[in-house]
Amino acid sequence: MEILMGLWESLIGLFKSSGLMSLDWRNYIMIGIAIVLFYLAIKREFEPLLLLPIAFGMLLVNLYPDIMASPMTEYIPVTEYSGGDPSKYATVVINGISNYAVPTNGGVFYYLYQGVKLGIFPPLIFLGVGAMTDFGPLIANPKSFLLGAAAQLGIFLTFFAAGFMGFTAEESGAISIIGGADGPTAIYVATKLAPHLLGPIAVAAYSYMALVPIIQPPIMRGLTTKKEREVVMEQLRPVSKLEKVMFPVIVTILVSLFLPDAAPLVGMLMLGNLLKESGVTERLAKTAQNELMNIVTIMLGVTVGATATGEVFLAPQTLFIIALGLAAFAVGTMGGVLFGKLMYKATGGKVNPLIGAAGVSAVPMAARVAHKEGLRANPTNFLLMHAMGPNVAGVIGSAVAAGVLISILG
Amino acid sequence: MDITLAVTVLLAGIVVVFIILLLLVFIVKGYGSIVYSIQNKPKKQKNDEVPAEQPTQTALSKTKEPEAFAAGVPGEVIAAISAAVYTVYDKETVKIKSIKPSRQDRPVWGTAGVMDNTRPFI
Repeated sequence: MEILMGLWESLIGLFKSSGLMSLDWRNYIMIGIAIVLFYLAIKREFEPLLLLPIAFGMLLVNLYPDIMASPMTEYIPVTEYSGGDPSKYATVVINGISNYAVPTNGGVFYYLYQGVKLGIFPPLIFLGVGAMTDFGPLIANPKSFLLGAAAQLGIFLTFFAAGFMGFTAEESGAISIIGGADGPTAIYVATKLAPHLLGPIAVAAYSYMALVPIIQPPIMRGLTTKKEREVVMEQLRPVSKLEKVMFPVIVTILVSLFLPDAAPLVGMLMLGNLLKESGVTERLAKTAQNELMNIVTIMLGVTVGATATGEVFLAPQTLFIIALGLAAFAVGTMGGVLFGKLMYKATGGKVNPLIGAAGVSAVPMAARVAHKEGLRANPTNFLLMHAMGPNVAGVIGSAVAAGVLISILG
Repeated sequence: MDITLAVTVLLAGIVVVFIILLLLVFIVKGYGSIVYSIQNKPKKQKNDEVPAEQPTQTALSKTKEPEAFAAGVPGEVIAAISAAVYTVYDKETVKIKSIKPSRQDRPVWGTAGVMDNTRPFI
């Protein structure tokens, strides 16, 4: 009988400590959202490399919130302590009662999240991105830098709009960087300026990056004429190895001197590129773009997703963030295309304005979209390599924009 | 949010991004021109030197207009191959005559894997 009573009490205790008793309705809604994100990542292939870990982190933290718990100190009255040797714990008197100060470890994601919180993971991802990027089209046509700059207009105009929607300056800066269409940059800036908004910002940023082929074409067609879209651009000159080796060094020196806050992102991007282009560090370049990037992607994604708790995500401001993110993307595309039209006029029709849309740095998706729109207007037009110039310039541009925001608002 | 701060960030952001990237335009253009002109300086030939042989013609024709591409090759694949060819070879000297699938005994990824695994360990 005692055994049965003990068994019953154990089962009751287990049930009381289970998630079924401790979770509230917001957690269950977030679990549903995580499942939707799984569908988008797996079935619709929306940036699956990051969206899937993000969704799983979101699922885990809403099933077991303590997975992100920070380490703390538990005060156990001396008379109730039943653990091991208490001599290693300090004794604290609270309300006249002596307590042992017993430290408890944080959840596993708390420790992994330090890579995000301390700004380590995003620069490491940029290291891998740099090792995968070919800046040849940009070096062959340096004017593409200006298209990359123009596409960052979306960031700063969205910052302006976010301020009027009730967000603080730091929150506005973190939200507006979604317009840079660069996941690591968005996470880096959000961590620095508004870490409490990291979850919705990351989900919005990666969702919109996957929606580039849907968001951009109507804007590109609306802002250009058929004649402009048909422009065939001059063949790019070949770029030598020496130029490709000099490029990352020069960019790092220039950007870091003028804008030190952009140095972690731009510096790691250029380090990765130099590892690739030097030709003497092939193993390091391969590791950076494969194993290292994959490991960091998993840890970054899952811990960023774990910041998306119900309290943060299911708030009216999340809808505003989603709307502002879309606006930032759209305005960035408009900025790039309009500057492309300016270059079309200034060069007497030698620049196809469509490549301006690729200044939104979703590499290589935005370049591919520009190329496809060019093909629609002129089936013999090969814009892909021309669009890659502004596309990779946009990566540098968004990192510089991030540096500006952190420098002013951080 | 303070309107002054909002306008400051808006203007400062756009101006700083443009200035830095404009500087990069000039610097990259500058060193690119120098390096390109040094590396592509026409070499003088001595009278007793034998002129270099002309590269052999492969599937690339110098003078003929491109023929119709093989049916069944997706447009995107044609675009990617054409872009790669014109990136490596000057468009003035070569024109793509045709693009057709080649016979493969081993899948391309398999070939890449064999090459990767048999390359000497550095």
